[in-house]
Amino acid sequence: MKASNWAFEALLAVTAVIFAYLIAQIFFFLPNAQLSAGGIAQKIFYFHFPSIFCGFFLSIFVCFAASAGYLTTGSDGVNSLARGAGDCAVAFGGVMLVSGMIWARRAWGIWWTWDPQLTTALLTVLIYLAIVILRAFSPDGTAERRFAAALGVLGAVNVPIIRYSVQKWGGNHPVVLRKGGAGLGDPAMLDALRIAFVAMALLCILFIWLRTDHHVLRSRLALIEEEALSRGAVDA
Amino acid sequence: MQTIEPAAPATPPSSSALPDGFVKVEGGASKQISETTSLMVAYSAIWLILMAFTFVTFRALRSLRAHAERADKAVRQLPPTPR
Repeated sequence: MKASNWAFEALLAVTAVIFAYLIAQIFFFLPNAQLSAGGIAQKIFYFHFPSIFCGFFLSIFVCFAASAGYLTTGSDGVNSLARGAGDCAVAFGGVMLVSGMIWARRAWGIWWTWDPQLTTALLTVLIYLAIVILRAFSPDGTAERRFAAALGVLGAVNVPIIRYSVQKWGGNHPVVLRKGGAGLGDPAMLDALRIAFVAMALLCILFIWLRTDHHVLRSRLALIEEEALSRGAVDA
Repeated sequence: MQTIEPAAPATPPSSSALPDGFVKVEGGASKQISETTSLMVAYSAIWLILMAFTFVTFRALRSLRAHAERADKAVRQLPPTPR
């Protein structure tokens, strides 16, 4: 077995154990929140919040770093990493939006409102979706790669805007964990949230790993096909 | 299972008066979805997205690996590049 396979499987096993422990904690041991926070529906929080910080933002950060790396080095591997992280940003963005909407329907009585934080988050997901679509439907040339990498760098600028939009422009999002917030009320809730952060970060790393592998393989296949054509093959 | 009340805010609310709890939005639906339904639907949706992403990635990886192996073998059987 290759060392990378072994490392991947070990990480997968650790992530699965942490998720199992987290789910058991959430459903069997943690107290329910007060009714104004959604009561038992508040348990959505343990996936919604970490999916933003350790899924969506982490993927965006990796995509930003790898895109900047590609723009400076032009490395094929770094381009695959940027591409893989962009895919994951869209997936975790989807988790963030869907879980948020379901919770909003319960807590606010509506599926969606044009609150500054929600709007900026939606725009950021759309930017990364645009990168994924651009890369999927355009040829994999240097110009297209550089354009997608520039978008990957620019998309990351939205992260601090999402984070501070609620402080700057207000909105419906409650202040719970930030300065001046009400807090979670029970130390066990905060402990579970910490575990959820670790679990989601590990899941995000696994996903980025898988998607990067996928794009590395696609690049390799393109090179093989190019070589076959140069050696006179009609169909590789 | 016990229900926890929120802790008192660490500092008084700022001048921008951000909500520290959930406030119903005006014009929202009058009929509430039950807490349990919301929780179950949200968890199902979250896991559905994550599992679909995993499934699609694994399927694409498997097909790409097979394709790359076939192409690699075919290229090795080709005559060397004419010079």
